Formats: sequence, structure tokens, C-alpha cells
Amino acid sequence: MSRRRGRKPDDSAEVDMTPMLDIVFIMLIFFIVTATFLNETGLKVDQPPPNPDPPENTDPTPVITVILDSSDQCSVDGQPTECTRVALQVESLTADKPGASIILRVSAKASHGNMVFLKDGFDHKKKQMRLEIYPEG
Amino acid sequence: MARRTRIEIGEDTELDMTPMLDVVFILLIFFIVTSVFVKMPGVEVDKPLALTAAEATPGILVGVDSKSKVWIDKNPYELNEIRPILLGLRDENPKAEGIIIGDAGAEVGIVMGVQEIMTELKIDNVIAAE
Repeated sequence: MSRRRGRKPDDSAEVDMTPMLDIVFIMLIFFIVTATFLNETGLKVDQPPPNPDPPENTDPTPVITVILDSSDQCSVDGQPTECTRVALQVESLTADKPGASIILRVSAKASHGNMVFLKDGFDHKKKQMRLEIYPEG
Repeated sequence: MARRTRIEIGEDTELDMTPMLDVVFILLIFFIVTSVFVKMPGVEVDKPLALTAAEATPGILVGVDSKSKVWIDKNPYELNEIRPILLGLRDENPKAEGIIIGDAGAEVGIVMGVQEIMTELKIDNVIAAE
């Protein structure tokens, strides 16, 4: 390089890119190493805002209430049910009460896995439901 | 012998680095653009299983372990301490989606408490499931 430049001084318009290349490579390697490709999957959960008024008893639409209590026991309309059978139970109850809306009441002390299981079961059967968390005590 | 001829070739023909440089720059820009510095919650949890889980690309990750501690960026917190932390994370990255990675044995009250705070702070959120 220098020899050639020495020979022809007017041909000196060439830029030495080596230091820049070093930096670019270091940056490239840094970004490759720090890149975290997350692939998470999840459920959307909406809680209705707390109702300021007490619920009206004159609600014309029938309701199916599914309760998951603090000891992870499920019940459908007051009847104790195995958590794995809740979706089936609700299905047969909707046959009796057409157009019933489903309310899923979950104790704040219940386990998260069970709540996701119930909600996923309803989502899978394309059933609309309302989720309510009630505090324990 | 062989070495000397190689040196001679190297001096005569100059290697054109331009195409390689182009590729390197494109890679560099790709990684800069796609890199989101995600703060991992730093806790191992058993995610609940779900059939309807959809893909999510979260930027704010919150873990809840089976002892109902809330983990953000490798630090454990109580539920009532996380609001300012989430607020800070949201301001850093206002478009980020949040994900709550709750252990299957965590208390619903804690997980949904985190979810409520996220919703109040207008962070789109999902509950992690597999």
C-alpha cells in the first residue's frame, strides 16, 4: 500500500476502511449475541371494571355461575363439579338455559393454573364469559 | 515457494470488499432494528397449559412464582411495589406489550392484580400459557 502510494502520490484518494470494518464487526457480533428472539404464547384476559352498583336481581338473561374457590374446587350453579368436567356441565346447562351468560367467579386464593384451565376451556368452545375475582375473607 | 507466490498475488490484486461490507451493514442494521432489550423476569415457572394460546411479542415481562412473588428484571417484589416499576418500563417503551408469566400454582389474586395494574397503566397484556 504505502509502497504504491509512494510511487504515485496523486493516487492517494483511497480510504483505509480497516478500523471502521473492525468496529462494524464488533457491533454486529454484539447485536447478534444480545438478540433474544422471544416466542411467548399467551391468553388475553379481560376483567370487567368493578361494578359500583350492586348487580340487579331483575336481570332478564339467565346466568350460569362457575365458581373456583380458594381450595381449587369447582362448582357450577352451586353444584360441586370436577374442574375437568366444568365445560361439559356448562354445555348441558346451556341446553336448559338458552342464551345464558357465563360468569366465572374465581377466588383470589385459587391457583392460577386452574383459572387458566377453565378460561381456556370456555375460549376453546367459543363461549363468552365474564371473569370476576373475589377477594378471600 | 508457495508462500512467496501468494504474497505476490496478494499485492497485485486488491480484494474488493464492497459486497461483503454491504452484507455486513445490512446484517448490522437488521440486528439493531430488531433488538429490543428485553428484561427477563429471571424466574423459572411452570406455565399453565392452554389450547387457545396465541403468539405474543412482549416487551415487558413480569413473572409470578408459586410463592406469589412478582419478578421483574431478576428482582422479586411484592404486588404493591410494582406499579412505579411498570410505569417506568412503560415510559421507556410505550408501545411494548406486557406478558404475565404466572406459575400454575401462583395465586389468582396476585396474577390478576398484576394484570389490573397493567391495564390501568394502558399496557396491553396477555397471560402466558403454553
